[in-house]
Amino acid sequence: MAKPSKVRMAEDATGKRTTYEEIEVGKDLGSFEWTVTEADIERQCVLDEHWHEWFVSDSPWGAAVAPPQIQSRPPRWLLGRTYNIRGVSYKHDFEYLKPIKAGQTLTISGKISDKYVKRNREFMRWETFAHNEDGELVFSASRVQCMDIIERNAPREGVGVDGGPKPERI
Amino acid sequence: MAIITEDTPIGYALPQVSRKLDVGLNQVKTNDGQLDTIHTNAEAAAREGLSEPIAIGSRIFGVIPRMMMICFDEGWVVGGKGSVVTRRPAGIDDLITAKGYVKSKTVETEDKLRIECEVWVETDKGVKVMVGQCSGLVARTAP
Repeated sequence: MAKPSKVRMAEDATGKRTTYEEIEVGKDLGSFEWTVTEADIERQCVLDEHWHEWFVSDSPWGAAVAPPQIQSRPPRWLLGRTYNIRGVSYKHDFEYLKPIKAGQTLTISGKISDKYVKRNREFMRWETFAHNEDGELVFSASRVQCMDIIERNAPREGVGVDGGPKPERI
Repeated sequence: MAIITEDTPIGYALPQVSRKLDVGLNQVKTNDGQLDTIHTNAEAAAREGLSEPIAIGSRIFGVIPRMMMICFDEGWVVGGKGSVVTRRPAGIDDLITAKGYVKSKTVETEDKLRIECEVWVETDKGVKVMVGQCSGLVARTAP
């Protein structure tokens, strides 16, 4: 078993790591469109072993809907388009406002809302919003990422294996 | 059929939901394979300061919406809300269990109540790895 590193990673296979100083509070993270497929819904059911008749057949909303927690992935995709932050997920606030159906295209957008230091580690918060084709808010999420598990006074000089940007798929 | 209603008492223990994690559930898929991540690869984890790979946060979280769905059904899919914090990592093959209880009730609209619950996920070693609050909506009879 490899020994845990004492230095923070400066880069990885996806490029240079974003530093705390480079995080710009208020920065618009842009937007992208996510068309939810039946395969996405099935994959989420498999990953969470979460099966319900509403996820595979009819539901009170007139068609099958996705497990609501499918909404936990797009915020990470959004962040990865602008910043390369590995770290670990720390806090997750969310609100489910409308059901998500297969075939629906959602516009995912967001911005950086905060950064702070706690217990000698660096944290950043970003907001994510998903709107449907009619411009209605479908879900919102506010996430906090601990940028490095290693404390902030450790030099940033290593080369990591894993990076922040992730494949945009469930 | 949701099991929580406006008559459910404060302190009511939510039905627990358990699952066994495994390496496959912690893989991050690409179009032609999978990535080496801190969730599957010992070297990737070590370079980030970890002594071993850790479970993906959303896999740990996943038992909470299962529990909330049993409790609220429609009132979770539309109207579900939450705030959770990861306190400790979970191992990639841990047995995890979502637990919780009803904490409070607030009027959301004329015909809906919001039922707030304390929730957490613990491992089979009794370690609370995720804690927070989640809430769902239930029908409210006219006062």
